[in-house]
Amino acid sequence: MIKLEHVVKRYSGERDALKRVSLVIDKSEMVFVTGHSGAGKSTLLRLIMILERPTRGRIAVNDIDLKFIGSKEIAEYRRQIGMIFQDHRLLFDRSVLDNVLLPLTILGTDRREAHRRARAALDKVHLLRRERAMPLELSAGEQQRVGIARAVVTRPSILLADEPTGNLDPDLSREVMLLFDEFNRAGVTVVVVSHNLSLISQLDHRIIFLKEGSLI
Amino acid sequence: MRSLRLGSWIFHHRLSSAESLSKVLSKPFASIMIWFLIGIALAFPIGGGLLFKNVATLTNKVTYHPSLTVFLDEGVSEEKGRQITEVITKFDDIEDVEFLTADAALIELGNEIGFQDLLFELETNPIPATLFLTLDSHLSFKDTEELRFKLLAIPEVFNVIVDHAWLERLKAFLAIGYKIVLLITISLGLASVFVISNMVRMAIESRREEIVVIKLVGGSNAFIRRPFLYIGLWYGFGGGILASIQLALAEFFLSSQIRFLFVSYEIDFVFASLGAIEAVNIAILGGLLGIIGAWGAAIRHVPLIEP
Repeated sequence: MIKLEHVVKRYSGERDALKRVSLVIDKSEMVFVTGHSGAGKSTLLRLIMILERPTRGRIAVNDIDLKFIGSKEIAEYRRQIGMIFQDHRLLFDRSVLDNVLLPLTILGTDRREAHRRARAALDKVHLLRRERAMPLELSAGEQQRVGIARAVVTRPSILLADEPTGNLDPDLSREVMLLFDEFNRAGVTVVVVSHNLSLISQLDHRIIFLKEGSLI
Repeated sequence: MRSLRLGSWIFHHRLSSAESLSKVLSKPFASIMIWFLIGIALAFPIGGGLLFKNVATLTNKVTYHPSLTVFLDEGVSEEKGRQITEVITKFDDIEDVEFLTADAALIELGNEIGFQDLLFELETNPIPATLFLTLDSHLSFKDTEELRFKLLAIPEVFNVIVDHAWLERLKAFLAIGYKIVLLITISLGLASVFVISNMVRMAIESRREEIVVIKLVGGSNAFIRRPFLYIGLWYGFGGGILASIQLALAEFFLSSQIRFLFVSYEIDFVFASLGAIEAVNIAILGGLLGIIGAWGAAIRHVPLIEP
């Protein structure tokens, strides 16, 4: 469960990116967060990932108050969350398989088990036959699917996606959203930030609207 | 489960070491430059230390009996000289006293330096009556000096020379030299650490994007530091190997000349050279310096890179 209570995020010298936002995302729920550019969608995800700290308010994830997670525990906390980025954030000097293996290497998973799980994740996103390819040899859609495989390979309880379909055509976008839907049906809490209202409307999940840092 | 984690941890170490070595070798020119720099920084003090160690061994091998030469004032009669000899004989720590009159001392000097004819043509004898004192072999240099001052206090004594002073001075110079080598060792060791630290800092900067991604997927600072520590290890270890090679080459080129020098002085002495164990130790020392340098850079710069 993700719980935000009166969360304010203010950047120095700027207006509030989030204004006293309170919301609850239940365990195994899938929600879409939408709104115009600058509405505070990405800031919300960055706060949940502890890439930034709120100016005021409280955020709790799985009953853990993020305020009490010190800089040394952040890495451990992030290992429990799968994150997908608009710009994929892949390591371009490593193969597709090595990119997906990375979170498992960090976790210290047995090598053979890690390879099995990484291949299973790649199979899930239909990229198993490209496991030896380098990211630059892949299309944008394929790169995004590698990013998804990397995010789910550790079987996280929460999956966060920041504009995951931003660079994809409509067919691929829908395919990616269906993947998230599938993960959610397996019990994963999924939060997807997207400005593509027509796409997210096609799926039967809660939509959270943000406007200038406030919930509407 | 724990053994699986340990296996994975060992595997990541193997992976990090192999990847780091590959990265070091992928820039051969820069790596060779660093290896040379560290090699020279290690070879100079170690070579200097080796040289001092040999000279110290050599000076310890020189056997001598502590002795003093006492020159009496000009005009001191033979009788007075013999009286002084009797007094000095009773001093502690003196094994033997030999008295030479001024004439006998001149003959002795002539025999020593080989200019007898020239010395005998002098109108007056410039050499005073002289006493040769053989001291207790266990007498320290400090005690010898005290005895010297005691002898100088005798009114008829003009001067007292400590015959083995040169050896004591040499030992003192060697002690100073040893400390200077130690200081140079520390300075060059620190320089090596800073060079490696700077290289690792640049490596960290060049992999900023990768570090950000690793942190985003939950990589800890310790996990990220690991390959950089191996980079430091490889730079230091390579530098250590090169230092051993440089020292071996220096010894190869100098050993025949040193041997010739010893033979010419009829000194039976074998120069202590760099053995295989010492060479391995130098490489390990280089590796340790490399890890220290890399650690210094990684501990400061990795936490500063945040997603």
